[in-house]
Amino acid sequence: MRYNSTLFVEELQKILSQPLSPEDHSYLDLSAAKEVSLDMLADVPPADPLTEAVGLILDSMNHGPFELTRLGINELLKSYLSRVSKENERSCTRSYLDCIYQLYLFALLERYPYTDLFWEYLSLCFDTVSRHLVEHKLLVSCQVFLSKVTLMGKWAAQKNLHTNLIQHFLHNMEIWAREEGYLELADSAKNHRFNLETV
Amino acid sequence: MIETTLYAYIVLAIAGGLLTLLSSVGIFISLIVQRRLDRLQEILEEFINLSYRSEINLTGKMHSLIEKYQMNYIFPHKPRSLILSYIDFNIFFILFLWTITFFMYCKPPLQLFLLLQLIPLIIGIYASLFFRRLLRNTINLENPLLETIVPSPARLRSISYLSHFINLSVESVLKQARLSLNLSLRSKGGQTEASVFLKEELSYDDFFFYLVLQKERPEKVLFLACGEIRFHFPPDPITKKPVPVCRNINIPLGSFHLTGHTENISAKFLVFTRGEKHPVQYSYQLIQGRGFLASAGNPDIVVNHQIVYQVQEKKIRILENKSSIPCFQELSPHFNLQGERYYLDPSSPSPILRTCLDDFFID
Repeated sequence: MRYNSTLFVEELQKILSQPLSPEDHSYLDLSAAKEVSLDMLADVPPADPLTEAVGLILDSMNHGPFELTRLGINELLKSYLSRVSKENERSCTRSYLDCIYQLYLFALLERYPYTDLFWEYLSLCFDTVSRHLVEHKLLVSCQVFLSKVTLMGKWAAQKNLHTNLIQHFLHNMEIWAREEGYLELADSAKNHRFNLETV
Repeated sequence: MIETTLYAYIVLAIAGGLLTLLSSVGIFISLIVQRRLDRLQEILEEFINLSYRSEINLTGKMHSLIEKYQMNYIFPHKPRSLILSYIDFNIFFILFLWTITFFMYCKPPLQLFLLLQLIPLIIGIYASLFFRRLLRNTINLENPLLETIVPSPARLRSISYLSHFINLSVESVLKQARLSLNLSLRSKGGQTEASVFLKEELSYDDFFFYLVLQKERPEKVLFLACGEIRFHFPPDPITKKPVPVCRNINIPLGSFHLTGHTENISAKFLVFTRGEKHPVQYSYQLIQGRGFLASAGNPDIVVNHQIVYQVQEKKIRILENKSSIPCFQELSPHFNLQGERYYLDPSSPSPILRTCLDDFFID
């Protein structure tokens, strides 16, 4: 029952179907706020489905089979693809990739046994996601995506994980971007590919 | 006015002093060189040790080790030229002094006995010039004298050189080079022309390859290529830095006409090196991308123990299991290490063996 993949995905989908927390909420974040107004100190942040989803996936990474983690990432990225649009591309891509990045950092832990599987699966997903982004002309998300994924790739190379799938992804991205006429994006993909493994 | 006899002693004393200085310079040089040799051999050993861990990604580390080796290999230009000019000046001045003293006491006419008296001087000149050559060679490591002890950095990318180490697995070194195949497709007058490229993440060279592209069900040979891969990287034209190894290198292997669907194309790539007797075999499965075919995922890399070969006078002789190499008969005259790449398109109306002249490029 606990490790039922259908129930896991259903729960995840239920969480992810809630609306994302709005950016301009009134909760006071001291790291971002320029000035402190005393009457805002007691405000609470709005519920964030992404935090909940990440928590659920982290649970599965802590003591679940890899299959659940795999499904979790898949659902997270699917929910991203359904949400991202021209209006919210920067913030949406950022918040989803931050989640993925947290999961990735957890997967790099010494005691996590499925690091290779996790990274391989993630690399394969990136390929499809970026293809969707290029085809739907979401340029800003592509840039954000590219820089974050390269960051992960660099980490992976330093941890001696294989990066050929990421290289392949960057090469594909370059070709697609060039075909669609986004030369700047193509150049940036190429540059990232050349710098991926420079220690 | 100094007395002539005494003057000769003074000159000889100066020459002796200079000679002592020179020998201390020799000791100084040998100390530096010894330290450098230690460093270089440490790096070389670290490099060889890397090859035991083939399952993880060490490409970046290998690249930085070769660069580190290169850094320790070259002696900084300024001190080197300073030391060299000091040695030159010193030796030629000593020779000059010796000759002067000789001719000070030399009285004509020339006799055979004089020639005999000249012998010590000649031997002295020869020995000093030889000493000079020795010192110069020790400072510049790029010479045949030390090449066997300290290989040049370019040697570290040579698979044939590395395969001479007994405990080094060529297979795992090649794994880090990440060889992959890439076919770029171009439509031309209703036909699809495919150019075949071998991609290397780290530019390992100095090996002989054999490539066959096959279609499964029905089985059909699409493309054949063989030849030797060898690079020459000149120093960077702008920064003047030496380039021991490159990344993301593409080697054109030839082109052929692709007909029919592009599914189920597989490739077999054999690597023959000088120090081994079984080739390393790569098996690729090609997948279709937009405008290209590329090898998917990690290729299957094994040492093919069925095939036995021997390299004799730059020629590769297959001793066992020739039949597992398709079209070996046609290609066998070209199984030699001449630095050329050949390819064959069996589907063309008149299949002839061509030489691939395109140069490699970085992309």
